[in-house]
Amino acid sequence: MALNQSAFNQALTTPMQNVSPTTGFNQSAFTSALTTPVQNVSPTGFNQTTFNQAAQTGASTLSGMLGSSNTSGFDLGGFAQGLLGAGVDYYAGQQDIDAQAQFGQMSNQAAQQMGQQAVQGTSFKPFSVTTGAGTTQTDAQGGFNLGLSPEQAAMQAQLTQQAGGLFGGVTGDVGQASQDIYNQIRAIQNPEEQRDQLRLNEKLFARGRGGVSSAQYGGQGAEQFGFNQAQQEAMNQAAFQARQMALGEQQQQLALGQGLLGQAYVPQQQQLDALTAGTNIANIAGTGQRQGAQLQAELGGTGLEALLRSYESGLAGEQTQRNQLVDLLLGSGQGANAVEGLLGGSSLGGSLGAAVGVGDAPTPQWIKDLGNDAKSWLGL
Amino acid sequence: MAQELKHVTISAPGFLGINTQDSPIGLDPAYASIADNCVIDQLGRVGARKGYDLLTTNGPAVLGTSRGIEAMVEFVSRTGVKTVFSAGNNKIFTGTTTLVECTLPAGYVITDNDWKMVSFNNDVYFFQKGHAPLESIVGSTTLTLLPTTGGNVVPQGNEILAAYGRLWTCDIVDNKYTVYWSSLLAGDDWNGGSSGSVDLTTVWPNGYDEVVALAEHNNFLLVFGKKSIIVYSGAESPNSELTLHDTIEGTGCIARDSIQSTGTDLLFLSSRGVMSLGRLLQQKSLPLNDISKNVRTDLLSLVSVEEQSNGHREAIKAVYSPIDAFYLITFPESGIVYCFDVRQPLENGSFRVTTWSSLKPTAFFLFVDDTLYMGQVLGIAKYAGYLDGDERYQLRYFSNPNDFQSPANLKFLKKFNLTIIGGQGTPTTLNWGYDYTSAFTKQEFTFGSSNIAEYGLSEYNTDAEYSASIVIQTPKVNSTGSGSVVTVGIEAEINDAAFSIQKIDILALIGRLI
Repeated sequence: MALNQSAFNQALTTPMQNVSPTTGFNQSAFTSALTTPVQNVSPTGFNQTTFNQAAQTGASTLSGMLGSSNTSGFDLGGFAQGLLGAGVDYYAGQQDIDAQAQFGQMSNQAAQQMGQQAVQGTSFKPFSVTTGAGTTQTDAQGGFNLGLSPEQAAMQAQLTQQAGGLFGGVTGDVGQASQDIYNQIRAIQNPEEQRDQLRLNEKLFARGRGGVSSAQYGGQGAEQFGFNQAQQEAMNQAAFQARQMALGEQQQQLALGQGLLGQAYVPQQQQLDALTAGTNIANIAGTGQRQGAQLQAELGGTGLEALLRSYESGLAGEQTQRNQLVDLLLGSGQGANAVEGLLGGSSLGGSLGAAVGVGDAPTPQWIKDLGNDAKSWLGL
Repeated sequence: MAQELKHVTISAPGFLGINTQDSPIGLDPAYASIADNCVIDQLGRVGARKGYDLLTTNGPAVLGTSRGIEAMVEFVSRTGVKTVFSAGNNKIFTGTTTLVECTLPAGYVITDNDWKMVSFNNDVYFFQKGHAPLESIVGSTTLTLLPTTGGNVVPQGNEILAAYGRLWTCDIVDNKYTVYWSSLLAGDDWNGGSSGSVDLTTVWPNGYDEVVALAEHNNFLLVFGKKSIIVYSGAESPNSELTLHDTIEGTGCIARDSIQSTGTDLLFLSSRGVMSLGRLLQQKSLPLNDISKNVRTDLLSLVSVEEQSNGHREAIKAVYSPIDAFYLITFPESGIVYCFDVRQPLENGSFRVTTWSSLKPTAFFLFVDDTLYMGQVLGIAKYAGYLDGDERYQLRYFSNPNDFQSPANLKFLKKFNLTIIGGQGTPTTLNWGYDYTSAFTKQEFTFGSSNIAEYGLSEYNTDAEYSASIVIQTPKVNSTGSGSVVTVGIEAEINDAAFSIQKIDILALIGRLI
């Protein structure tokens, strides 16, 4: 009996194809696939009819050639019968050993193949998650690539750049920033101060005090001193205010930079969130896949056990048939229960001995052909 | 048939002072055309001025051939010690009888005698253009130089005023537009404390002027330019409150030392004559009045002479004497002093004015005892007595041409009846002339000597002296000639006796129509 290796492999492979992350586990296809090897590994693979026919034909031929054992004085028949029975027993035992060795080797190969299939069925299948922000691609090594869309990437680059600019402002020169703000404040104040100065000048010159210079007021009149004092106070206040505003702006820039930077990574975060969601979904598919692979492995194991058992049954049946054939040819039982075989007793005479190469006669060609045919039957 | 004599009386002749500006015809006979060495006495008469009593005994030795004492001041310290500072012959002296030269700072050279000296805060300060100011601390005869270098350079002003608790100065060489003031109560601090200055460039009402003098009047600070006056208020706090109150355009002060305050008016010499700036009670502007309008042309001609002779007008000095009730202004180059009687202004607003000649004062100062002192060639003199030193001086009074209110008739003067108060032993000449002639007919006479009241003199147990308290002379002079207008004059050589013309009675015959 020979194992249909290709069919068996095909049967083992088929259920794995039925587990897809997208389509889920196709139970019917899986069941059908599992059913197929069982059919292929059924005892029908062992050509019993051909075997029976060959055995029948050989026995007839051998019986025709040997005749009845009762025709000769030397119990050559019994001797041949015993010799043949020993040869047949040896041959049958050797056939069993070879078949079991082959069967174990095939079982090992099938188990390894199923293990490989289980590994393949349970291995991580890279998947991708696509959102409006881009496509995240996982790889077989468990890594992933957050692929942002060009728009989002550009947005991220822009936001990052802007954030960088703001951070540059945060770490910028406070003195210069204060000076800039101070200049702006003074630019706002200057026109009114100039108008005040003009009004003061008008008043001073109208009162004849335009040319007053006083040591008490730093070389100028009291009014001009007061004006300058107010101006200086305004300048001081502006400087102080500018300093505070510069620091405040830095705080704002820091906050804005942080905000922009955070916003810049929002698409990535969204991608990560989507990846998490996709991972969950993939886990669902993976779980089915793994369950399918496990189920396949379990079913494959079960099938393999069934196959092994069927092969064991087949071997047992074949052994039985061989024993029956030997008994048929050589007889069976002892004593009262003894049954004379086709080649034993009276039917096997002198001529038959010679015909079968007993004595000095050479081994006839038909015995050799019979042995070769038996060998070919057994697949040896 | 003899014609009736017309009796014309000139009562208090010339008591309205000199008037050379109006047309003499029809002019009030109380005006005089000449009233030299005269004053308007307490009774409104033309009388002889006083002479001077020279106090200084070493004048020639210390003054040499200079013009004499040209500036002086009496300083009274807080302890009551009086010190008279005077300047002349490029020196500064103390004392009146004996002029003692003050000790000047080492190397200090005086090149002129136009000092203006003021007493301030128990010290005396000396300012003159082009000279570093000097200081006499508490009347010390050793003068201290005010800082000329460093951070406290004192302006070398030509004018100095002590008012509002500080010193004020102006008229610096190359800077005739800035008024400076010292720190409060610190005449030597002109750059610190509350010192300051004001640039008048933008204040002059006529765009440009040169500051000449300063004065305090009616609680205003007056800044005198040559052609304008700036009136400032708030000078008590000049740094913060000095405020232009008013400006007077067209009238200024042309002589620094002509400014005198009469208590009610501020008198000063301007290019229009002697002006009076009155106090204001209701008006916004100070009332300004020309008090020399009756002698304007003559007076201003003397100003021109003074400026042409000296190149400046600092030699023109003035003083106000409340005792004598006159304002004197002297023109040393001309030797003429104009005397303005400040008792009562005339109807036209001018003051009665007379002239003084032969006195030739070069400086005035009214001491704290109200005695008028003056600088003379030989030293310091006191306005007193009726001799100029030891010499007589001549009083001259001439009326304006008088037509006796009959301009179309001839007048034949027949007789003069004079009433003279005082004049004991005074040679007197009566002058009369007709028709604007200066070739007068003269008649001399001398009043006899007479003792007058000697109040305060103890002459008990001496020879009895019987006399009235006032000597009255009533000479009578027959006159000749005729004319349409008559000019009458009296010339008296004042000889240590008062002389006042009380009245001139003229007996004239009014003739035919011309």
